[in-house]
Amino acid sequence: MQSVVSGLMQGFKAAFAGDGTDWDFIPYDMYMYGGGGIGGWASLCGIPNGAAALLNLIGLHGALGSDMMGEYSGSEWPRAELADIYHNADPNYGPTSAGYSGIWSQAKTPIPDDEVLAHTISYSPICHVSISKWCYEAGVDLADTSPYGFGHKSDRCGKVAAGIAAYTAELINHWAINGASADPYSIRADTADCKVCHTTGSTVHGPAANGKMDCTECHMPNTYHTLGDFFIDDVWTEDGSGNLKTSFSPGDPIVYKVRFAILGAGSFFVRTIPDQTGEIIKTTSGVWKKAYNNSETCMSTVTTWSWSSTVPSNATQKGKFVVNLQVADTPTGPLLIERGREVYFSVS
Amino acid sequence: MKKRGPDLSRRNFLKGSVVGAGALTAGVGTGLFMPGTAQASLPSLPLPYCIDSAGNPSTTPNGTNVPVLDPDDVRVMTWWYYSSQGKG
Repeated sequence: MQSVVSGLMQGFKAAFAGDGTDWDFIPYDMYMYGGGGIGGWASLCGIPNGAAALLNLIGLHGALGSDMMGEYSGSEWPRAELADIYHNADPNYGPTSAGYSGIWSQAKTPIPDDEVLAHTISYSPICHVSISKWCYEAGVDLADTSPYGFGHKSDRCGKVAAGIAAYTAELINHWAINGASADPYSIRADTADCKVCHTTGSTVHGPAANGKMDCTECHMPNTYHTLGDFFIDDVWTEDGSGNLKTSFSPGDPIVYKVRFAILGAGSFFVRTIPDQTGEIIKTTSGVWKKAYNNSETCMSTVTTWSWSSTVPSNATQKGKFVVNLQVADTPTGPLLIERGREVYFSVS
Repeated sequence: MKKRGPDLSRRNFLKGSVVGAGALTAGVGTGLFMPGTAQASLPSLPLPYCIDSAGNPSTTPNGTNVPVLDPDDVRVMTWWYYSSQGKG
């Protein structure tokens, strides 16, 4: 984090030296906290955290912060620019240049890009994701050292820091003249697809979701919103006060309940098969039938439905509560599974 | 909705321990700055990021502004801070 802030800050401090701006009062080390994703948690990578902190100092975190985050998350890292500056002996910025020879004499030698062990896209601003993905692709652990005497991981992260700092500088420069971003970020299409249902303001089709991070980096992609199984866990009858009851008298209140479970990922549309869920009770004038219909988009968990009724005044002997349910991906989607179950109760 | 019980909060160390009591006492005892009264000389944001046509530091985008950052300078200096100055 601190390297990114310092790299950008030193440019401002040098540019405005002697102008009496408040850059003179900002200490370099005020952003040490973000290294390692804060306190070793590997949460938000210190690189975008640092760039955003610097953007905040100049009031552009809202205008450019998202674009910078997108560059970090969606680009293949590390890039060749820094190593090329060194190994191609760039005349203006390389190790033999007048202005930077002293700098390069102290800095580590960057691994040439064709010797870098992996180039990866993190699809995430999270330190843990970003580093682990690269280390896995590179086949190194966090402590592996390169022939140049600098850790492979450190070489990679240092180059990402340098690249994001330079990118942020370009964004700032463009903004200064144009008042607009040079590289507006657009949310990825598959993430946008997820957010059609997982909105910030609705839980109808699944958990409310906020943010621009790519969903499928951590969550199963939409194609795996697949039903693993669906079963009716129990059907039963109660009195009107929430107590299990199996023996009723005519005129008693009766509550029918069904508890079902969805195994899978995401949400599913559950409905009663039309007119095939309800009560069937023997009466002195024949068989009494009443259908109960319901539908609901449910998360993959346990759901209970209930219907309240009254035992007919001419009921006799017994009755039963019949449940037949169907599951589909969406209200208009094809049927996936059907399940049925029934329970008897007595009337006397 | 599950509510987190007060006994589960890690902040409770401030309420029941000697260290916590000392921290609270120190915090109250030293007093607090009222916003906007004693800090007038501290930097205020935003800081300038370009130079306007009159040669002054500016925070306002304009087609006549002069940017001040050199991206490749920033790139090399960031690497220097990272690889040799322990800045992470």
